[in-house]
Amino acid sequence: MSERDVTWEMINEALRDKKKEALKDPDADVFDVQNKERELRKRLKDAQKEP
Amino acid sequence: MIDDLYVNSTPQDTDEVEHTILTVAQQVLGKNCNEDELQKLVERIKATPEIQETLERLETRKKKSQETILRHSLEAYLETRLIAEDVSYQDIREYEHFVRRTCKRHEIDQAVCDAFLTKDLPEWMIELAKELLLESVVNKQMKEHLGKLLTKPNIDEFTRFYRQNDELIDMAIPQEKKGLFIFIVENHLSKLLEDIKKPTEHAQHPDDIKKVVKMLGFYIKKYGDIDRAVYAGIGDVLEKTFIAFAKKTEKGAGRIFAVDQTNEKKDVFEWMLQRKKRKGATPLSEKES
Repeated sequence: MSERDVTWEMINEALRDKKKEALKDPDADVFDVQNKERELRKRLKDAQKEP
Repeated sequence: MIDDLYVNSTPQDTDEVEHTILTVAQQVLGKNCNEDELQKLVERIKATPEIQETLERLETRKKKSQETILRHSLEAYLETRLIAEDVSYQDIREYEHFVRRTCKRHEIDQAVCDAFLTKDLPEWMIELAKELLLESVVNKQMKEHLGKLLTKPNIDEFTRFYRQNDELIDMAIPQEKKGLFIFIVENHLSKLLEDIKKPTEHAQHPDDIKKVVKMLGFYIKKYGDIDRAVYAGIGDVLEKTFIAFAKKTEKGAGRIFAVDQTNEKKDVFEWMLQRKKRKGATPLSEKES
C-alpha cells in the first residue's frame, strides 16, 4: 500500500487515536504529535497531487 | 464593669457588643440619663482599645464566615450545576429566576445568583472554575498551555492558540466539563474584548475591528449559537463594531457569515438584529439613528 492509496478517513481516524493517546499520557508532547500530523497531512496531500 | 465586657464574656457578634455597651452605659448613668451624655459614654467605651480590638476581631470573623459560606456554596453550585449536569447559561438563569421567585431563600443564594446575573464575578470564583477544569486535563503540557491560554491578556495570542489547537482542546476536555470551559472562555473573552470595546466612542483602527470580527466569527462558528455570544456580553460589542465598520467604509455593514446549528449560513449582523427585535430590544443602530 503506497501513500497514494491511503484515504483521508483512514488518516483522520489514525491521527485522532494518536492524539487521544497522547492526551491520556501526562508526559507526552501533544503539540509535537499535532505538528507531525500537519507534516503528514501535507506530505500526503502532495503525494496525492502528483500524477 | 467595662472590663467584664471583654474579659468575662464571649460576644458572638458586633451587635451583641454594642447592645452590651449601651446596657453598661445606661447602668453607669442611671435610668433617666440624658440622651447626649449616654451617647458620649457609649462612644467613649467603644473608643477604648480593648473594645476596638474586640469589634475588629468580630467584624473580621463575620466577614470570613460569610466568605467561607459563600465560597462553599459556590463550590457546591459549580460542582453540581456546572459540572455534574453540564448546565447551560439558560439553566443558570432559570436557577436565578427560581431563587428570585422564592424570596425567602437564604441570602447566600441571592448573592450567588446576583453574581451570575450581573456577571460581576469575583476573581477567585473564576480561578476556582479554572482549577476545577484544569484538574480534569491529564496531559501536563496541555494543562500548562490551557492555563496560560485562559489568562493571556492578548487577543492575538488567544485567537492564534485557540484556532490552531481547537481540536486538541476539545479532545483534552472531558465532555462533562465542556460547560465549565465555555463559561471560563466567555468570561475571559469578555475581558479581552474590553480593550477594544468602545469602537463608537473613539476612532478605532480597522485592524482592531477586523480582529474582533474574526474572533467573534470563529467563536460563533465554534459554538454554533449567537445567543451564547450575546449572553456573554459580546453581542453589543459585535453590533457596535459593525456600526463603526459600516461608518468607516461607507459600504454598509461589513458582512460576516457563520454557520448555525442547522448548518445554514447566516449573516451574523442581520441574524443578531432580528434576534434582538424578536426579544423586543431596540438595536443600537436604530437607537443611534
